[in-house]
Amino acid sequence: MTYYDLPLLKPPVWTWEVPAYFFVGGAAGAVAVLGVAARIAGNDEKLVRDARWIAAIGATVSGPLLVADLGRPERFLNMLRVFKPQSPMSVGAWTLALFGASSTAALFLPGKTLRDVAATLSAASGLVMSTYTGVLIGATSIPAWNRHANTLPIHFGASALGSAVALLELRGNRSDALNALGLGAALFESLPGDSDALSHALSGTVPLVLRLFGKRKAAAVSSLLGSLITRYAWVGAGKKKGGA
Amino acid sequence: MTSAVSSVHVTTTGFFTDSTLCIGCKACEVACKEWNDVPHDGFFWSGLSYDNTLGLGHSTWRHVKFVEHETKIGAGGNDASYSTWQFSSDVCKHCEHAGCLEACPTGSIIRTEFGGVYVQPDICNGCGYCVVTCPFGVIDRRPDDGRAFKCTFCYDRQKAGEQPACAKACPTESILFGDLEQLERAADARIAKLHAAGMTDATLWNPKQTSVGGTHAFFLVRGDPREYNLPLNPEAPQTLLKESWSAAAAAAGVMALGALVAFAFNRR
Repeated sequence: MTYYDLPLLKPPVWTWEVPAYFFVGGAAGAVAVLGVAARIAGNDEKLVRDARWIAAIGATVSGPLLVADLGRPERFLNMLRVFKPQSPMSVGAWTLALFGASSTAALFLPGKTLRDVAATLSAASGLVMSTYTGVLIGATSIPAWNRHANTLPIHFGASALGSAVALLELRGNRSDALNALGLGAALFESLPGDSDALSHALSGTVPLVLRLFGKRKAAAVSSLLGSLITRYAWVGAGKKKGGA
Repeated sequence: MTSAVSSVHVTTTGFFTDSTLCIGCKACEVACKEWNDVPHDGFFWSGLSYDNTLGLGHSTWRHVKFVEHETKIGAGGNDASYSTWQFSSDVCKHCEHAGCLEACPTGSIIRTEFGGVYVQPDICNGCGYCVVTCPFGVIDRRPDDGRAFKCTFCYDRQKAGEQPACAKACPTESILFGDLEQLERAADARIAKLHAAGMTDATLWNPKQTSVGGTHAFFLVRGDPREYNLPLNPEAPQTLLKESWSAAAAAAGVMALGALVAFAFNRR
């Protein structure tokens, strides 16, 4: 019951750049994690190199996407004016700053050790990048989001991992490790969840089946699409009348 | 040189809006617009009672609601041949635990020395996060400006020792402004008086028992507060942070561990 049944809450003002960033930043963050895991195992130099490039490019694209969505883009640096742990967006802004700096440093710093240290920082912040956006929309007043506050970060993390595996595979990396992680992400995403049917299938059942039949690149494309669409669907769900 | 401001006795202030005294004149809306130089937010005919404004927003910081009721006989009631007409002037609630303030990543939204929640227009970069963390749908981003706006509690006037423009303009003292604790006592006395006079549907709305922790702008309405867009159990969204971050940490942990194990046993 509300005043003349008008929606009590204001719909989100975020435009297309925000879910696009959720997708790019999440995937890039998870790629950085895979890159460091491969670097530690020391058995796949090409994958490590590819991962560092994808993470840095993803971080570079993420910034402008977020700046473009601001009502006052020229004031984007105000995001780093304060640090507020109680604000997921503040945590996210600082994480993206760290992720961007460390991902770029992991490519261009002189000396292998320095680059490895930077890559490790990039992976650490990448873990936050791939999951915090679930907290960002979960811990809000919008019922369509806050009812799922404790599952959205997991769903976003799993689909970011699926995207990360997909990006590396589409760059020509083929390994049991990637396939196993892709299977794991697809298996998790195929479990009953709260996402819309299309992205649920594209990030879950479809890539799962495709991988079982050895169609890794097709599975990769499906996972990427699912990961992108689910973020648009979730942000869109919050914009429906009253955010219900 | 001593500052003039430091010598002023500062108290936590509040709004007590008593709808039973409101005559629906909208002087508060006009005074707010005039004093704060708030632009219009469109002219259209809503068809909903005498209200073409419909709600608070980026360019409406006081909003008079017109709630039409079935006839109820009693103090303040009307002749049985008419339906009753309730007016209530809505405003930013200035929450004790304000979702928008906590969520604001730039620190633009602050708590003033008067206890109000204030958006610093020179800091706000229009990220829009306050819009989705307000439990009451009050604050919004002004499209042609890019920044978020809401009631300032007339911070400028309060600093000068004046009461907010809406309270000043209210001709019936339906909008009372003053020391928060004194207003709360006045509200308790008012509702006791109304109940004693037979207006048993008078209700005081101030969500002190929720995570919002009470509001600095509270209301006395007749009937169900939800009809006035005053939800019964508003929650500050920060209560969800713990479970949501826990889920994120679990997901991140599984991802990191999974990646390390997968590549440790990797075959190309």
